[in-house]
Amino acid sequence: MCLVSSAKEIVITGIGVVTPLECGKGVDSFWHELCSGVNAIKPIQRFDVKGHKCGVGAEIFGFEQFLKESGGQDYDRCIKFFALACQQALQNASATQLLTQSMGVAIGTILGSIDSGEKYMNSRFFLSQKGEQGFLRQYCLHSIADFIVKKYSLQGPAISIDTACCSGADAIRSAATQIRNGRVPMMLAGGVDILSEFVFRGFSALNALTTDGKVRPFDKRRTGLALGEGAGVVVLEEKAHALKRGAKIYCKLAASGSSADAYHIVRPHKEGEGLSRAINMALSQIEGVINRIDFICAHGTGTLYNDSIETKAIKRVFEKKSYGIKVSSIKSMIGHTLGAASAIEAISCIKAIEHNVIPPTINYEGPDPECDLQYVVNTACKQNVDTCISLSAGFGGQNTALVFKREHS
Amino acid sequence: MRTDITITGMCVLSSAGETASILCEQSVLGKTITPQIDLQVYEKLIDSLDTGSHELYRIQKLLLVAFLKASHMAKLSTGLAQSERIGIFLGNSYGLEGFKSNFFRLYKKSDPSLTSPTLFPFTNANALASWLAIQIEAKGPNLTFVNGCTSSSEAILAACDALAANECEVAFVGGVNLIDHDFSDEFYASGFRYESVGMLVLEKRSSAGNSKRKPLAFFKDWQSGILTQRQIPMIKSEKSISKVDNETFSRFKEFSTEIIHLGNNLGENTFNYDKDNFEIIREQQQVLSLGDAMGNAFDTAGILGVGLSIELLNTSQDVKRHAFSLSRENIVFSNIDSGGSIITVLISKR
Repeated sequence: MCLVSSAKEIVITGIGVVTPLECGKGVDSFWHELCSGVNAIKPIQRFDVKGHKCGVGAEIFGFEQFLKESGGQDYDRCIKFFALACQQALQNASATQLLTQSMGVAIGTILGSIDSGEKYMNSRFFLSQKGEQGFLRQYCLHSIADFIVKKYSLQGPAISIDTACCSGADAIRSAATQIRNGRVPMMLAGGVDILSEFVFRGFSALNALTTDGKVRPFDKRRTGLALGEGAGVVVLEEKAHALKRGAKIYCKLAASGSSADAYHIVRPHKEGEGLSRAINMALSQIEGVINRIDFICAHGTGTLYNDSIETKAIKRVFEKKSYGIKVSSIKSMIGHTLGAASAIEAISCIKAIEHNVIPPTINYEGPDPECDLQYVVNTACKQNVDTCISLSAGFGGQNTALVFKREHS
Repeated sequence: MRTDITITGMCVLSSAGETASILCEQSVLGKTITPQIDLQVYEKLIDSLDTGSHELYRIQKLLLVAFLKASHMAKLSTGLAQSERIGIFLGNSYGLEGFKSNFFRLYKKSDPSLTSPTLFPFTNANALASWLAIQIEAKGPNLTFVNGCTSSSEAILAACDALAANECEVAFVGGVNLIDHDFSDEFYASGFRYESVGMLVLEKRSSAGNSKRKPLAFFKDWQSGILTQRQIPMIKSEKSISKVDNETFSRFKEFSTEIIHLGNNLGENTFNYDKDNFEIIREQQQVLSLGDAMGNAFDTAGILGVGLSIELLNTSQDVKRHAFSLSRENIVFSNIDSGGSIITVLISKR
């Protein structure tokens, strides 16, 4: 018989981010820029965007200076992002080498090391060359987890997940499951993706990108999303384990839910039915919390469809109470970081609880009647934040909700 | 909460036939097996489900065949579980590589206005599981694992966890090992031999028991971990390892079991019939390495291994139709990938 315990409480004891806001300087810098409403979306420099309706994105430069040595090899940009976020998270969690051996890693990514993939495919298909095996190895989606396992001599589960834009959040859910089921006391978990020409071409073809150079979630003038890049990693830990070693506890991962729309391969369900089910699944795991949500860190892409449907989903769950919950989208500042987005947004929730501040949705000028919730617009909002939800939705109708709750001492 | 998971339906398909044991047997006997599955045989079956007006891609057809056959075996009828309670868990690290390379070629050649919007969504690994969810209205958890050679084993673990945590009532767990794309040379170089697709239908023992359907077997335990850094280089150099010393697996010692092992591309001889070198269970009767028979099954490895285990558990001992023989009622199936991940499930007859 398999022992599956639900009694174990999961807490966050470390966080690490690499985003276009702070370019790898660390979580405190990220949080400061985020709450200051800094816009990291600028003209794209890393590849040619001539001929496209959108020419902006949120890129990261100069982050490598913060990365400790990686064995002399030149690794893919995506692996470096995730490695730097892990480095920060482990340091933040005061995790020693001894501790890392009893850890696992769960990573969510959509295209992973696509930089290496593009180089390999270019050699094969356009230069009639064999293609470097090193690029091919890194192109495999599991290469990122493999790198982290090797770097930190991890002995726990190593999980690589792709659930589109929910990838990072689903990696966190999956990591929590490993701890809850007694496989390991600690897990590194998060998401990563880069802004590549490959993904830019795809979103451009789908007409999903902003046409006015700005991302305006929930605003009536919103025209679409801007792509970003980055990584977000948390250290999840069994509460008893964290207390025993005297670790700083940020908050609790109180509940989570996931669902599929089963509706359309790209478009979300028009009534937000799937997303509301993910939220309900999470809320059903903790009594009475439905009345105590202070903040929802929205998926908030800034596309016409997403923002109104997400609003509907929130209203389906919370009904009249919806209007008393603060909602915000950080994608207005860092763009859509794909597989990393939901992990970075989870970290925003964790920091909101730590500092009692809700980051703003910038570029907001005019309300859309279909988006009529209490959005935190243009400037950060200082208020008590005890419980918050991070929402994500992705291609294929993926939906995930994570609930974070203050851990009272 | 303690629970067992019941396997109520299964389909393992290759060009050798519709069981994992046939593929193993024919391969071990040196019979010619064509790499690709003949899909024409299944056209009628595929047409039985209304999938819309678009011509399906090969990978969609393969997955659909496996789903329909596994559901049929599980005797799943509509209304057995609410659509919200049906989960899909898929291993799909490499199946959509062809879409990626096609999309890459198109955008490199064409101007922005000609880049295909319909191709792009299928460059995401999760597209296949999402597409299946749409076809069968599965609105529960939908997870795609891209772990490489342990992808479908990881999917099995996640499905068992989700069932045990009551996140779904029925879980479809699958994997497709496809070869008709631009990276076929690399696949063959990594040990690929045969295209395959597999699907398991999993339910909680209590739910399956209520419906009076005959279970195929049970998952009694499932674990994952990483080999030690000392062991990984030894495996990569095809040297035998002395033991898997991860404490996670010690609980299997309480069962009287045999082991089926699938090592994928780590050097297929690593565990080949070498009892002393794989000591999860001290007194094992037999260690069967599937690497030699199946080659690298990539995203189908876990389903093939579990499929063969179930077939062996359900075959009476006096029937000599398998290349393997078995004497116990439990099998430990373990699956290792090139990163050192090892996933182990205990499959039991009762």
